[in-house]
Amino acid sequence: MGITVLLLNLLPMVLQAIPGISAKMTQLISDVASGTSTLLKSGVLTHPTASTILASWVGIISTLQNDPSLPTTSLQAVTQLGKAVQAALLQDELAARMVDWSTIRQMGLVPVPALTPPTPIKIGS
Amino acid sequence: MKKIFAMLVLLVFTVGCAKTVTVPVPGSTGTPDAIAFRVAADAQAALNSIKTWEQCADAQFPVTVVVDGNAQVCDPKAGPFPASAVPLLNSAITAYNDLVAAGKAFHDGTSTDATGLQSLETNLQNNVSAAIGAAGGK
Repeated sequence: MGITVLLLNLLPMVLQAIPGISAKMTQLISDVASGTSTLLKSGVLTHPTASTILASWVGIISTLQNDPSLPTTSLQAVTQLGKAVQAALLQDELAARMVDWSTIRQMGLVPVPALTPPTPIKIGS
Repeated sequence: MKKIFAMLVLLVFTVGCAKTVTVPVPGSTGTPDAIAFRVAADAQAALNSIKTWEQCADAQFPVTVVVDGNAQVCDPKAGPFPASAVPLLNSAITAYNDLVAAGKAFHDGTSTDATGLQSLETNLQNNVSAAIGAAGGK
């Protein structure tokens, strides 16, 4: 469950990095993070527990999405991150039960977007 | 009576000394194989999810995109994928491909390097964490 634990640990850090979150929500994120970190560090994390932790983060993300003062782009990104964690968690449950390397395929790299060249500065006339 | 008592003591002693037996995961050749597969499978799912987001955003959110030969549905509400996270995503994909190659070789017996496999697992976990953190805005 290594990767899913890492990703579950990552969620509160990403959430706390969203600019403009109220003090009340920041406190709630800290409380949930400290409550779950003990479980994550214990090494006895089970799938139902991991799913419950993820569900609590999804709940917090949903609450944040109702706050119009927060940047939409940040919340969209956190939602996608939650989806990635969920996908890994679902896969982990299957992978713990059966090894089948034929289901694992090599992945292609993503084209790196071209950098926008800097606008030349005119000096003098 | 003494015989029964002795048998009970022996039984309790035997149960008390029983070792925890780890049941091998079906399809695996042993624990290192099972762990490598699990790390690779989890990473594949997480990276596929992030890669789908990147490709959907890059193509301005069509209904579906083809990610590594498979059609994936785009989430029109996903928003832009941060360009700064693309190199980290590629590093994670490279780390994933390295583990897959080594894991398959270990599984079929071409390689016996369990330590190398473990190192590739750690490398992949760190790279996936960095890529997803960057994509999420951390």
